[in-house]
Amino acid sequence: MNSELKGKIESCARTADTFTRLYYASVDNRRHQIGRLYLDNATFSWNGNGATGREMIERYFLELPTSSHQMNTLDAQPILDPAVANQLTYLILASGTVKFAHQSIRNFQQTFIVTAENDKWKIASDCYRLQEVMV
Amino acid sequence: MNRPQIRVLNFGDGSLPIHLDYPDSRVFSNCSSYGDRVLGRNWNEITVHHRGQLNYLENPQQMIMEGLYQAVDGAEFYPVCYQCGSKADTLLARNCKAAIDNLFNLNLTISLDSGASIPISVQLGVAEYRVNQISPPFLIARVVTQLITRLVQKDGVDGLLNLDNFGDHPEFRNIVVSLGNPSILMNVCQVIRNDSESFRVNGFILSNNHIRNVRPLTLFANVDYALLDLSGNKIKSADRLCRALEQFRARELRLDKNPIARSHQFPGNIKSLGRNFKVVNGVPFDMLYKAYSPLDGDIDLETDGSRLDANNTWKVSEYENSQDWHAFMVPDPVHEFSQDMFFNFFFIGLEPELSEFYPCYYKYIKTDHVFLVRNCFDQIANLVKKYNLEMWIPPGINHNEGRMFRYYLRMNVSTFKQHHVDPEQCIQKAVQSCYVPQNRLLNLDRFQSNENLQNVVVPLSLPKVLNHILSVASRLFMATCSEIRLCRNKILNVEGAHVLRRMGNLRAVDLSHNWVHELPMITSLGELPLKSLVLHGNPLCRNYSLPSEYVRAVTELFPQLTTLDGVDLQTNPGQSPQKNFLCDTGAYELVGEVFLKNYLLEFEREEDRCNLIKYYSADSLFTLTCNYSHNMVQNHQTGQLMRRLSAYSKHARNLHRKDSSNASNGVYVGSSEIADVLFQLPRVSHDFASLQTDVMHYDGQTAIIYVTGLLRDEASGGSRPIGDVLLGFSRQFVIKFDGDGLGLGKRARRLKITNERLNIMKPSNNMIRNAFSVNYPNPSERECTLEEDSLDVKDHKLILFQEVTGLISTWCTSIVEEAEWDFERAMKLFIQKNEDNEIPDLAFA
Repeated sequence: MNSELKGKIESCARTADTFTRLYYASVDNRRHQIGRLYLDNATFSWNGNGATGREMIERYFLELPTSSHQMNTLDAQPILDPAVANQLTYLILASGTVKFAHQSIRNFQQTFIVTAENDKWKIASDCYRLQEVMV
Repeated sequence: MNRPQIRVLNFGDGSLPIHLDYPDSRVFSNCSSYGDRVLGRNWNEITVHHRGQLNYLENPQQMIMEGLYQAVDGAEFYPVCYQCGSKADTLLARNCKAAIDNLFNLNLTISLDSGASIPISVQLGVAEYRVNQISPPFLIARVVTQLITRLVQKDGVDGLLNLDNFGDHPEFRNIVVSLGNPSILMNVCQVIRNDSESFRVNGFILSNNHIRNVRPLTLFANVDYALLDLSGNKIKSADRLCRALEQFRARELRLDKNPIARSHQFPGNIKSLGRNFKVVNGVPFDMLYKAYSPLDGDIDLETDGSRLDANNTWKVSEYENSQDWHAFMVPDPVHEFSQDMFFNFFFIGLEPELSEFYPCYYKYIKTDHVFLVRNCFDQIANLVKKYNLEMWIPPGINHNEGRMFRYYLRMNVSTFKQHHVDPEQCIQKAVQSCYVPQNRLLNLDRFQSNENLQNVVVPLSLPKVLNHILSVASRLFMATCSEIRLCRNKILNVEGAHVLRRMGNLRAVDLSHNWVHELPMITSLGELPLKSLVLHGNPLCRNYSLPSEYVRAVTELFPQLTTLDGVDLQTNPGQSPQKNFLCDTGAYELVGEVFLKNYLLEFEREEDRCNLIKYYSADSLFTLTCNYSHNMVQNHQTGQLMRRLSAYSKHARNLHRKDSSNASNGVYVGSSEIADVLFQLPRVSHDFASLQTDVMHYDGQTAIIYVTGLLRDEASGGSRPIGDVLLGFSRQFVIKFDGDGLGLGKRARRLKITNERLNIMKPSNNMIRNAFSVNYPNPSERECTLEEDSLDVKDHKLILFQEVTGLISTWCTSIVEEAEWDFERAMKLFIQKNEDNEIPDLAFA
């Protein structure tokens, strides 16, 4: 692996760590501010329920019961495709356990695409899945 | 042995009662001779010791009687007073020396169709015979004579002697009559022939009688009958059938629902009957060999009928009362459109208010889409008047602008012949075949693909056609049906749901994956007391930006719903999980054959994994995480499970609370590094029904796809002791497309993975419980070889297993089911359980 790629992977890992900490703190404790973390035209899927755009995503979050997330696995990769090369973009996966109000603890996994916009990391897409089965 | 005391059987039909007093106490079993006893005229009792093993069969008595008839080998045998018991069934018979001799010849053991052998015992002379006691031959003769005076009409043919399901005749409540026994059939045939009125009989309905051999029909040789209906019997041997019917002549022969009609040799194996019957199963004899279509030779589209095109549209009125076939000829010289696409566009021009329109015998001939229609003059007149015989192709289909296809018709190309397809009949049959009685479910999912609709297109996008189907359904399954599935039928609206009110128990309708654009299009469903409705996969779902808005809108229209799209509405609306999310419908193909499904299939087996290399380039990145640690499992298998998981965890990384300076460990770059890791991972099977997919981005150049679900780790080698392991998994892909315009259709694209992640998780209990519970129609060949055991095979396995193990039936069933009907596995399981003392003594018979 060349040192340039190595450097990219390391800074990606740092970003993933700080970003997810900020994210779950916002979701669990400062839900009303969550919109700030999303791009204006972000795509959002919560257990297969979709919403597009910051405003819709904010509204969706307000309908969710309060939550408490415990992350235990984190992984991230830089997306090196030339199509996004001029803009740093990372794929981040976080998983762990979550407790929603009046519900039992469940496993969750969440995959983000984050991208740098004006020195700030913003979510371009966010996919959240609770572990349950549907047939 | 326990013997019943003296009993008196009084049938209450005017016959003298039978006094059972068992003067001779000798019970014969498992022997080949009745020694010095003499078979007189008195009643004999036969006991069939099935020991309850047949209780799971649909009709044990039928099975036993067939076994007995096989055993007596055609000898006269008229059982009386058949009584079912939990361990044994008994019956009486007299005047049946040949039959009893044959039973003794078989050592008093009968073999059933399922392969089981059942012991019987015989006690002779159990009751004295007196004149005027019940007499089966007399009863049979009386019923046959009666029926000859009441000949019936069917499908326009009259004078038919109706012996359908003969054994169920109410007169036979105390005796067992089955035309499956050749001697009884012979007796019946003789009665018919000797009846003075028999010259009136124009044909025979012998359907549903378990008949295997029709030799007695030789009695009716060399008469020209109209019909011989043998449908729903057990005729298997073509050779025997051809010999028996050598001299029998009738216009039509019906053989459907017999094993012979399902064999590969059919109809070639009944070729020799070609001179005896004109029509078989509704198809002319010489047309039997191929799927018949009048467009294959009968109709000449160049010369038959007369042309109707844009230049002589005034002529259309001449055909107002025509009952003949009209051919539509729609030119498409480069065969741009498939049959499906073609009809999608064609049906746009049809008028919902006018007649039902059923294109028949569709075929692409040389340069044209061709199909035949009848009895829809108003639709044709409308196509002439409103569209001047032009078909509109909307823009975007290979062209930026909309186009007009000018077509013509050939009117009255052929009269209707009796063997031609009748849409009405096809629909009736198709609807009938879609009913699943065990689940009280009418499953019309992809109705067009029903085998009865091969020659007819049934456009459910036309409300009138849909209404017709629904009213057929409601007539057929009025009281029983509780659920209707109408998925994937291109339905635009449901206007006449009131016809379903006849179905008093209907509670669930599945309309998923149709073309309903707005909720008001289905308001008529509101007239039904539905509890469950499925609408996902319809364009109307896109009218709502939030799921909660969607739920609110639907429940406003259907306030009594408790379940919407399979989700319980009592719980949190709008937050209930959806199986799949697509940011763009254009990406639909990516989660199917184009990428995801194939990727997962090719990943499953080590030997196919090399096919995956094509997806990776020198810049591709791959990482793996394993969110399943030893503190999540606490049982005796923890150690072994962890050893199995090490196949994943040794490649895994986790950035959580780690120093980022080591972050590049566990990142695999480029196709060779990635392939190296993929090849080291264990063999797996995915539970395709468990998959949940999210397509988060798709713009034609790049796509982001996530999938999560359940897989079964089938690693081989030293780690086998705990067998296959169920694991939760998820994969994240970032994909880019290059090399546009490849391949024949110039639509193929090369697809490369730029980023990929694999996550292994502990499955939830719910996931494990539902694992692999749906039989997913999998395109891989592996699935083809795993044909589901038919019920008969299952019965056979159960009986065999019971014989080998000596277990009672409930235990047999549970073990064989646990082993997924694999006999070898079931045996191993049994031995294991027995060693572990898991099987109580009670479980043994």
